[in-house]
Amino acid sequence: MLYPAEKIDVSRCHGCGLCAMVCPVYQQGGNVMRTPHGLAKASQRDPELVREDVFACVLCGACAPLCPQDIDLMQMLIAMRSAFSHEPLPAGEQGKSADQKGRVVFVADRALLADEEQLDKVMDLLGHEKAVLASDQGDDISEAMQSGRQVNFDRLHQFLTTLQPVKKIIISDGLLQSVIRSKLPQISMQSLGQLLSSQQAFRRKLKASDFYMMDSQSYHADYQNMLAYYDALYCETECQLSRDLHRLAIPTGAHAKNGFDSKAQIDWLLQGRKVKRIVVESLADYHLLTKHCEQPVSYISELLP
Amino acid sequence: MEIPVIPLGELPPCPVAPDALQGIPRQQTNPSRWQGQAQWRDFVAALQADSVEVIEADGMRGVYQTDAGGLANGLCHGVVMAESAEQIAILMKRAQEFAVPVTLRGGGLTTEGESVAYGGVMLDMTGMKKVVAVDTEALTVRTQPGIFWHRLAEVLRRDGMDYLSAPLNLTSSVGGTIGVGGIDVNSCKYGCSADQVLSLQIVTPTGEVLECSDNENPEWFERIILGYGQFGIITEVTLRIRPYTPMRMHYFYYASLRSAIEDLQQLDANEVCDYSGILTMMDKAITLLVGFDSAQQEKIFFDQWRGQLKGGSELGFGLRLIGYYVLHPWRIREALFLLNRKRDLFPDLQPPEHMCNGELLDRTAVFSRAVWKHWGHKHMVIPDLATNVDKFVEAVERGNEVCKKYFKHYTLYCVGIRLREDHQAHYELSSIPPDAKGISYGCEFEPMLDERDYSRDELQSFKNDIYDIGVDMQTSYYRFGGMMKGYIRRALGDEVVNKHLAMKRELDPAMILNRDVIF
Ligand SMILES: Cc1cc2nc3c(=O)[nH]c(=O)nc-3n(C[C@H](O)[C@H](O)[C@H](O)COP(=O)(O)OP(=O)(O)OC[C@H]3O[C@@H](n4cnc5c(N)ncnc54)[C@H](O)[C@@H]3O)c2cc1C
Ligand code: SF4
Ligand code: SF4
Repeated sequence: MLYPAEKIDVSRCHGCGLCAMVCPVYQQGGNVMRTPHGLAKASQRDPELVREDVFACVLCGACAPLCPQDIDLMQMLIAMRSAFSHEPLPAGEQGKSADQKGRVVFVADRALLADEEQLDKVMDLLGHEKAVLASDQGDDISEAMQSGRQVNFDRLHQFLTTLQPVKKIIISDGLLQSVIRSKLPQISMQSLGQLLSSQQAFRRKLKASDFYMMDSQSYHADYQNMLAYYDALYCETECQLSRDLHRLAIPTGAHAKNGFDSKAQIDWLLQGRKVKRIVVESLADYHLLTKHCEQPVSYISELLP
Repeated sequence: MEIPVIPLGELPPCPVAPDALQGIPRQQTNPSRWQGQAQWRDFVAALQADSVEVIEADGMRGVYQTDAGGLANGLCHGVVMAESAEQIAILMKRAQEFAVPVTLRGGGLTTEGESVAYGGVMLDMTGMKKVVAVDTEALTVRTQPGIFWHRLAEVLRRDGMDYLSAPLNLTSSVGGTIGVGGIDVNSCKYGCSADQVLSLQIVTPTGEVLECSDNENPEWFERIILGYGQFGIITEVTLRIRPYTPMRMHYFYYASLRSAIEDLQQLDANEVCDYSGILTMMDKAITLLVGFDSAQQEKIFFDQWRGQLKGGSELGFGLRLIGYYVLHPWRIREALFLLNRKRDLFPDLQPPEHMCNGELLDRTAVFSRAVWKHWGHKHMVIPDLATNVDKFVEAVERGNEVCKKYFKHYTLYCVGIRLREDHQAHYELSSIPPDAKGISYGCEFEPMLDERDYSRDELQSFKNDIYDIGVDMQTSYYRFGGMMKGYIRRALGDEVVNKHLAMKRELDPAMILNRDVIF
């Protein structure tokens, strides 16, 4: 089992609906069966009943910090999707060698890995950290989780083993971040968004008329710390943050595979805001926003020399 | 369409239960399940022909099996997701034709099974949850009824606006709340959520769509507001709104419930605070919460009223408690409970990420999360009493004694509810006590259920004991529910009940809409 069974004990769900309240999929479709509330309640009757609906989730992670019953909702969603998927993830070919002991490694998200130019720029910016690209990026695992394919646990184990000796992980894949955080809690980890946005050169360029689009998966993977971090960013720059009244990050749904209307979601993100420029932490969000928004969109690295 | 004449014997002559007597142990029993399998398939087929989808999948039906109370259980035959007034109108016409019960559900936060369907159709109103228009000049919002208050706050904030008052639990829907009341910590100023409604679009039990307000179809408006979904389905709502302000909050501490209530009532009578309420941790540790929308109002309070309050500051009160427990060392467990409770609860009422310069930015989000985190349970047992000003202390003290009989730890939550003289007709069959003038008071009794397992019967007996106080004092409750049918005649009298029953029979000939909630 990938996750401790008691952590995904659906019987603990008492149906408060807080998860549905912030779920973007629920906001769009209104089907309670596609929220942790509906999934947990239906599973209490028969786990088979969630077979279809669990794949509607975009894995943004917004529901996870809210559950008053402390059910690990991200783990629950990933585990349920994996259990009902018919497409197993093939055993990995990467990650043959472990990363060097005591190094700082960078685990990039799939969009960044596919964009050589941006990746080079990011690696340059990480120069002061003496970071190197992790030998195993685990992008196949992230892709499997995101698209709802079966997670191959041997493969996951292999990936985590390569990371075990490192000193620090810088990461731009929020999904893998939540898995690594739960499995290798002893290793220091920082999201790429946090690392770059903490630089003074970056902050000087961020203005009150900027809309700062956080990567929702990274944000919720480290929610308690991120709350304070982004509060400070806001206090210093007064930029508009992509957060709701619960201080949860509103996702774009860039990774959505199942009929999620990202355009409508972006309209909601920007509704009523006076925005001159959008600054984005995630390259996948960047691609989506440039397609749908009139305002100029900058990827976070573009604000740094 | 022909509305059928319901054969005699199908419904009892009076569907309101005969009065239940005190002293006779009553446990809640679910209303009997609708036995209409024979017509169900034809009904579904007719709806399908009208392009109304009925979801009969097991998983979906199971989600609605109980409400937040968790004590009443029932399974509907099928679920219809509300989409539009027109779709609901078709559903209601067919439901009358086939005599199939339709139960309405918003957030499902009732506690006595009012939003549980014992067979028939569960109409999930959360399918209709769009905000239609925000008017920042007229200070109104037009919204569909299935929207959660949280989402409404979220939408309004984009325009710098806020709703006036809503339940502290934000997963309740606007429509469901208007049907039952909706009490906030600022209800002392604004009244209940139902009183914020300017107009409604409704679907009648026989499937007519109409608009109603104080001026247009007022007789419908009167019945639907605070009507427990008996007389129609709310499909759109126009509510009053206001410019958003953060909240300045202060707590004062009391060792006597009576003193705290007297101070609360004095502040409310003089309209000193924008927010006020009482929250107890134990009989010895009572908190009066006061809040303000502006620095000016806050200053008036501190200049003119603070000195008159009997409650102390946190420090002073803490020192007094320490003194008490030094002299009563055998009560150390009690002291530890208080310490732990305070340590756990109070930071969640003022979390740093929601505070700025001492002001609470998002009370909507903060209170809602705190309620579920600290009081949430698979059984939400929150019986309540609502009275006029004069009866309130007695009602709370008697309720408090009942709590002690059943539970080691519990919380009382008391608030004032400003009443509108011009809305007397709305209150007739509602939770607002008939003898209250100007302001009424509500108290919720919330046991902490984590200490051991309680049987369903124990919990229901506790609730009944609280409700008995209401009957005995000829007062009311925040809300009547399924099991309240047993109380309604004694609480409101035959005249009121018969009048509403006659209206119900006329407006809902097959008696299918929210059957067993009151009628
Ligand atoms: C933990 C907790 C805390 C609470 N705190 C508060 C509080 O602070 N203040 C307060 O006032 N209440 C409080 N309540 C009670 C609860 O908020 C109310 O019962 C609630 O407002 C109901 O809203 P809902 O959407 O959940 O309605 P539901 O429970 O779904 O329905 C309530 C009633 O309205 C009917 N109904 C639903 N939708 C419609 C519609 N569109 N048209 C007509 N009728 C409809 C239903 O059939 C039912 O009879 C609390 C409850 C819980 C469990
Ligand atoms: S992860 Fe996001 S999309 Fe999935 S259930 Fe939670 S809130 Fe909804
Ligand atoms: S937040 Fe947790 S307890 Fe509440 S409905 Fe969702 S899964 Fe269930």
